[in-house]
Amino acid sequence: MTESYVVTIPASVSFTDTEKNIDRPLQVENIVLNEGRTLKINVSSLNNFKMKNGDSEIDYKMMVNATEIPEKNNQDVLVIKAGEHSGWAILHFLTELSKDNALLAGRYSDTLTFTVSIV
Amino acid sequence: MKREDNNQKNNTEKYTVIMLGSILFMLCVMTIIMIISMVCRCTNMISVQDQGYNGGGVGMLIDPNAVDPSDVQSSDEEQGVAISGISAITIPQGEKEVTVDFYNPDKNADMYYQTFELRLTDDSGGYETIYTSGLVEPGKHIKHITLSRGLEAGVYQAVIHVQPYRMNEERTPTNNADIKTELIVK
Repeated sequence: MTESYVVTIPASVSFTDTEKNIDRPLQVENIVLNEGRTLKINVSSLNNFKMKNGDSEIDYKMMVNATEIPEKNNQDVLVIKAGEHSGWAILHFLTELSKDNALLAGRYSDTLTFTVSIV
Repeated sequence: MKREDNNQKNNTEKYTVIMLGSILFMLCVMTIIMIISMVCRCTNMISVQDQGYNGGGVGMLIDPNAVDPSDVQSSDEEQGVAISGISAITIPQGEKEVTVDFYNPDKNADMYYQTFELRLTDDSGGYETIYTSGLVEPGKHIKHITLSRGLEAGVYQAVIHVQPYRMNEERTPTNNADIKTELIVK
């Protein structure tokens, strides 16, 4: 049987002076898995969880269920076993961005890649 | 004199009949209303019992700590991107023109285009791109593609790299997904 699913990932996360702790859902629906199989999702950051603007950078963290995702990336954030048709997790993003930091003005960004595999 | 007495008597009888009829009608209406409300109450009791509560859940409070993923994201925030995934694709050996099903879900309507890149991966983390699509609108599928080369028979580890783009003038890219899949060539 062909295995399939639909995963909904956060499009982006935007920090501001007043919003430094942000939650975003990660959801999987319409799951079709063969018996004994498991769906896994891990998250990696293009810049090792640093938002960049040229040479200037701002650290941020991502946590799942109070566990921080390490800089080395590729830690599973959601695991769903055959028999379950949907699943979700809350991703928590936080930064210590402060006006006292001497930073280059502009837009800082990073890109997250969600890798989905069935094993 | 006698005729007037008779007329008066008839009128009194008529009024009496009308009064009695009205009272009877109102009694019937009230009875019907009572029966309907009793039936509704009985139906509610049956529904609660069917759910296995047997009255045990009555009086319990909704747990305020229970959350739904939709509670986490406010309506003003940007909606997530839906990405369709599949664990295996089968194509004929040696052919560059092949049939697949790369789909941008309807759920992304008015929000995100997507592009699809089919990559053959190796154990060292490297990859070879054998197909790249253009922008695909929400609700649309790409079914017929041309690979950069035909493949020999075998099972290849592959990734469908899905890159969403916002439907604004800048076509801003968002976070993306790598869908691990097996490419079965036979």
